[in-house]
Amino acid sequence: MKINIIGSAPEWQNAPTDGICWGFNTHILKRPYNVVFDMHDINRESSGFRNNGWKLSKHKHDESIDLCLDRDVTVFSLGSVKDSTIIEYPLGEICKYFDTDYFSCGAAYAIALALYQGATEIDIWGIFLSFGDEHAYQKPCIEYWIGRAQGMGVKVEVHGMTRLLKNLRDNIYGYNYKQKVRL
Amino acid sequence: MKVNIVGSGPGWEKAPRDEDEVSWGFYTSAEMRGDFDIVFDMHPIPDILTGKRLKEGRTNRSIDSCKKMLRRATANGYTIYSLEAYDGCEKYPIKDIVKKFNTSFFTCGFDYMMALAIYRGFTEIDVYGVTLFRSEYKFEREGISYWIGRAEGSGIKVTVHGPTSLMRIPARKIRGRDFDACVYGYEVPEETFIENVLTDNLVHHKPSDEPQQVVAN
Repeated sequence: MKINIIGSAPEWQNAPTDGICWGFNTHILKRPYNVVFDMHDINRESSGFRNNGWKLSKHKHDESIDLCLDRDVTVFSLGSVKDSTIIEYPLGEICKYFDTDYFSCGAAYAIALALYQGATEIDIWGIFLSFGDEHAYQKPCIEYWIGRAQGMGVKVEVHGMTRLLKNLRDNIYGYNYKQKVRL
Repeated sequence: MKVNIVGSGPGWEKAPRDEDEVSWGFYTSAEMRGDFDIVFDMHPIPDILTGKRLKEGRTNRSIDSCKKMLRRATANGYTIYSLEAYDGCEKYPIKDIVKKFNTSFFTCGFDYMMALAIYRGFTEIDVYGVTLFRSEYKFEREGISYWIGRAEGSGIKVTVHGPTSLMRIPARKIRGRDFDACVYGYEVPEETFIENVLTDNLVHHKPSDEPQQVVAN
């Protein structure tokens, strides 16, 4: 089972639209997904809690949730909403299964769930993770989960423009080689 | 079969020193204890010994300190793994490692140690003295996290001992309250997180009558 995990960073447009596609937050307004991860408190977001300076505007957020509900798209979130496709992320099971609570962003939750559900291939698109902002702590965590997946024998491919699995200046530490060269 | 990987950060002194345990160190931790089985120095030792790296501003290690390290290896009887075989140093099996793991994502010496530990079939890896508290280590944290994941995914038990920022999200403020570290999305301190998850006692459904503040995370 292959799962495409798709962020909203440049080149997300190159991701497939068929197969299993998991996305984040309000990106369903741009393209279709089977599953959306909105790892925030949806009730609070809908009440405008995060509307003051937070990147998800209330209007956009409500629109994307409505779209998910209209299309019966599963939304994984912190809690569930009765009689809807918004369901609580199975955090307890995931933490217990993997014996870790290292989650720094939605992509980490998505990879963990993909592994938990038995994915054999994970393709990652549109996750750039430049240096210097919140991605500085998100990047190592996503890389942890990629390592975890590869260690389990799952094939992981990171597509397009990204800093994931890239070292500073793309060098292999110590050696005078660029990454991905034949050694 | 367990290997202890011992860095030179706070907590290194807690690492076991029993003779029957396998312990690997860095050239920095080898300055503090000499009873390692292998010491990793993934730098161009010949260039350090000629002073070339120092002149280029690519290291602050003096020629003398490098010579001392080589002498210590002879005196203490441990092997040094480095980029190339040189004067008592053995060449790190980089080709085998890259071929086996199909990646060249190595950000620091620790990554090479983890990769070799997995390659050699250790079933437990205990890490001591690797704190990564200083911000210049942020790039190293990426590779280390990846290799810890890789090991755990392979079924190896990895335990990071002592103070560390590894596998942690930095401290930040949430609704005006300080959290030393927390799990993305959930608003409980990390130290009580697992307990709350397992008892289904998370606090993410509080009534929304709290002050409407910017969430700084």
